[in-house]
Amino acid sequence: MYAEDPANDFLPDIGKLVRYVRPQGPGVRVDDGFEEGMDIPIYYDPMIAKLITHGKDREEAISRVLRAIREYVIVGCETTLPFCNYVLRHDAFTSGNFDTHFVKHYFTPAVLKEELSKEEQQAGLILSYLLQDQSNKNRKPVVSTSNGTERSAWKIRRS
Amino acid sequence: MKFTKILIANRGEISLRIMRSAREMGIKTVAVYSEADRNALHVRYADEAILIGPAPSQQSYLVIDKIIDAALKTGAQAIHPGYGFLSENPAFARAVKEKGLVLIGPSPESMEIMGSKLAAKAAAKKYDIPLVPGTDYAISDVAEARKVAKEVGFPILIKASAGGGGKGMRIVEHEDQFDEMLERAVSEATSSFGDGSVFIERYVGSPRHIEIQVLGDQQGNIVYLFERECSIQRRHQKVIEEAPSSVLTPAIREEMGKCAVLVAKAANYVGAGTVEFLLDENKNFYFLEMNTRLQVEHHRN
Repeated sequence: MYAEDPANDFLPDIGKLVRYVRPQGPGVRVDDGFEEGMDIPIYYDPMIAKLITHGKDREEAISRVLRAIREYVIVGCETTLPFCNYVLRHDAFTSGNFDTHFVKHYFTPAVLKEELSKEEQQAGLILSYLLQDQSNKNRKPVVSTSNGTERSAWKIRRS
Repeated sequence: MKFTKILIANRGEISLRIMRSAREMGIKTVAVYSEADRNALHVRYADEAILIGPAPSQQSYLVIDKIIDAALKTGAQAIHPGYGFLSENPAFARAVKEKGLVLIGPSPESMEIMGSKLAAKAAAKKYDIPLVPGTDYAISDVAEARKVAKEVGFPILIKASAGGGGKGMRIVEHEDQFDEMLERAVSEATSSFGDGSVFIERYVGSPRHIEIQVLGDQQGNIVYLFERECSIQRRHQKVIEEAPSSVLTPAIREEMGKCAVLVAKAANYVGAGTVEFLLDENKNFYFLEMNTRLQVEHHRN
């Protein structure tokens, strides 16, 4: 994971790690050199961390890394995580049928915007559900309609 | 020789990763840091820490004398360079040795062989390691170039020998385009670099980048620890890697592993290193280069 902006030609996007929470759980390893509150200095390589997952097979390893990416909270700079999230769910990657031209063939900043707008739509759905819920004076505990697969903490920026 | 204290000439996660291993082994650690890294985690984790200069790495992490002085001052017996910074610098490796210290990594001679593309290819050739078919010498004669191109087989790539960054590179699909493309490549190379000589190589259309982790000890034993699939790249740098690769068969994997060991042997390699290969769409593999250092992604293996 680099402090880089995938929507801006992967240029370094350094800053202060206002919020920084590592993913945890089975098969997940994070090697990094930062803590919350630290600045990513401009002088050196913008790598923040290496996120490593393993599983009993390729599918498990991929679903784990997607889960870990969702858990990773980074506020303060753009990172390559949204790009990784896109790649890891792409048919070319999951089928194993890819080469070094992946970015040239399949990636544009627009694909990240599409993912974001899906997320915004979902946020809208949740909000309308909550409002409806209130107007119905329904006192049952509200469970998010999100299936938990789209919402990603790393999308929040510079709170 | 068993070390009791080592200096880590690096920063960030790799510095911490090495220190953690050292601590498990009962070895004391010395960190070096720049003024920008006063509060960095590697400084806090180490048993001792030495300030080596201002933030820019040219004035701190890249200054050979400052690193060696810090090791001598603290009584460290060895230096681990990590990756980046001075890790593949033969002058550093030599200076460490001259001061009676040990570099945890390959010899300066290994770094020199693998640091030069031509020397690396020549070393690999001695062991019959597959290289991308083509010339390993510059051609400026049209007739000779056409003959070589035919032997290599189309499509081919014409590369300016003085070129870089895609300049002076031409893909030639068919033989009948060859003369015209060669002429253009030579004139582009002449105007851009003042040198019209070119290399000819088979064009690999759908390349995958697969590398093999190797480890060598000081008795000449070298092993391979399987592959990393590194084809997902941006700006020619890897961002996602996986092991095992989903396309290698056990037979190809073993063959690549054996070749990687031979490449490392050709350089009398000691320590952790990586041998990079290109894999074409028919699963033929070709040696690209060797990284003479611990690699960022070594844990994958």
